[in-house]
Amino acid sequence: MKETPLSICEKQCVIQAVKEGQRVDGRSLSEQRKTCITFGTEWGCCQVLLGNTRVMAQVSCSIQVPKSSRANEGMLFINVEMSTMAAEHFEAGRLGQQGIEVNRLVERCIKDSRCVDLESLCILVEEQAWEVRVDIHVLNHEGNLIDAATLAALGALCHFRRPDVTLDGRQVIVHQLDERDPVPLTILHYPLTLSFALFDQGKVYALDPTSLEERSADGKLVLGLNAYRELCTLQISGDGVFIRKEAVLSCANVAASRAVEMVEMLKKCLAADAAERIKGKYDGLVTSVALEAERITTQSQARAYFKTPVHNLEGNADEEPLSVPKTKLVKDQGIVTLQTSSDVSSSESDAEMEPLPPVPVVKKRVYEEIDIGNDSEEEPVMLVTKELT
Amino acid sequence: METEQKSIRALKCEQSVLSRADGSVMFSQGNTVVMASVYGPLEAKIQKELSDRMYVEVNYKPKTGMPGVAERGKEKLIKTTCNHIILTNLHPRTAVCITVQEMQDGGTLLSASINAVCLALLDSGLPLQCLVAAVTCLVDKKDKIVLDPCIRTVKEGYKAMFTFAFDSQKYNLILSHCEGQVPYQLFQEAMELCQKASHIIFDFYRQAVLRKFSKELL
Repeated sequence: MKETPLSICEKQCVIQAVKEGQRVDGRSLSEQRKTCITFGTEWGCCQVLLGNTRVMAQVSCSIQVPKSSRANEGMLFINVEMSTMAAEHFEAGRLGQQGIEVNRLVERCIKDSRCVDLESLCILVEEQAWEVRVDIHVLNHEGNLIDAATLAALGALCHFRRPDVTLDGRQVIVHQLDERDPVPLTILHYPLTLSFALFDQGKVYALDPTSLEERSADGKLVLGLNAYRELCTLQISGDGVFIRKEAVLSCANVAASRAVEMVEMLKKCLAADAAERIKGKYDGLVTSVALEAERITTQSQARAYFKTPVHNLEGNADEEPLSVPKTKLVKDQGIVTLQTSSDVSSSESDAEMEPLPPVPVVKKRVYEEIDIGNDSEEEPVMLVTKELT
Repeated sequence: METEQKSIRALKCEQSVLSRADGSVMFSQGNTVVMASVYGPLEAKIQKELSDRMYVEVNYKPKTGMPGVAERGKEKLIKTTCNHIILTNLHPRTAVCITVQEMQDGGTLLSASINAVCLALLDSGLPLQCLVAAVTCLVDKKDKIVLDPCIRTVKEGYKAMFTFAFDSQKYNLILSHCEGQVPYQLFQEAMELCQKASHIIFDFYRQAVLRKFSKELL
């Protein structure tokens, strides 16, 4: 399905409003939407809500052979999945241009900044290492997928625990989750991306654009920063964008202060999740299902009981087993048919099958020798004939 | 006659949870959380277009890894159920795209997916012939029937696991998915038990929709 085209009046309204410093949803130009981070019961499951944009990430790990160029390191693989659930123009299975952009930027921010200590994931040099896989599922697209995806991936990596491994000489023992507590990944720093939509050829910028603002914008500026105000990713895209260096620096300043706040919030959410788990009854994502219970679109129901009569299985053993119709093959004037009889008696054998007519068999090939002449220099010719017996 | 108490785990749902989809729901049954979205009627691709009815496309997305054979199996089961309940004859040459995303596995993903799809279809306003409620039960190694098992019970091992889906008008069986080996009596008992349990789920649907339309829009 193709995306509904953006009308000219909508686009012009957004551009005009942003030029005057106002936004359609009432935010200021450097204000982010309400962010909500929740975790699941499985280690490494993180759901992020950035306004209405919803993204879920799940981390898993497996033991693989490390790359020959980096034999003492584990591997990190990031996969972004966009399906029709997020928007009607997304195709399940195939990543369009936008999907590839999101995938690449999340990879650059998280993989290339080397925030996960890959050396600690190595088990046996050149032989075995952990491959950590991050699957990011985009659930709803209401703008700024890159920020939501990076935040979800980072939250999931911080939340994840891998099985504990011990080395017995050259023998690798992977402990089950109930044997030994799983081990968290070593995160060296917390990089996040912050996106700005650029309007008026790069003169005006708006942080955390909605889907409408993204489509009306001239271009995009994506900054990857961590809590120490260090820049790890920078991307400017869009045709007709001539952004001046002062604008990039002011964007970076705004983004840096926001990045510090967001990392603080992520750490707080992780700590709250850890506290909930210790308490005992941990539901994970169930708490986020009907989060605002006063909304009329939510409905909750506790465990519902009902009474059923008890069936006694042993008491029914004396009863006759259910009658299964017996089938037999009957040959009638060369036609074989299936005849069913609802005869309950088990003494009748149902192996009454007449043998099928014999298939003509090729017994042997007969060669005929033709004698042409003794003084002929030709070789004797042999004819092959087939004889059915 | 002796009676015993059976139960269905706590049910929670949030309808219209996604802003872009025509119908969407985040549904939880115990610890199993599933999100379903419905887009329809949509323009169908020419290869998939059917001249007399709507084409139902189902995508089941697992949380980890690429979708494989098990996911395709679930998609087929959900698709046949949907073909039965949606009045596909009313929208020929169009398609409906249903996506189910696994959010948390608490034991009964198939039945939770079918229930979520039913709620999402209700939310989307597509014309339906009837509603569907799916219930899972398993027969553990001691020949005891456990209704709506949690993930721990499933992981402990079982003799057989059944998922039954019933319609809302006459509580007839729409779908039956079984794995394992049990005597026929036990199968019969499990089906009757699931049929009784489906009443609870249909009641939940009714309450959810009543609540959604409880306020008037001015």
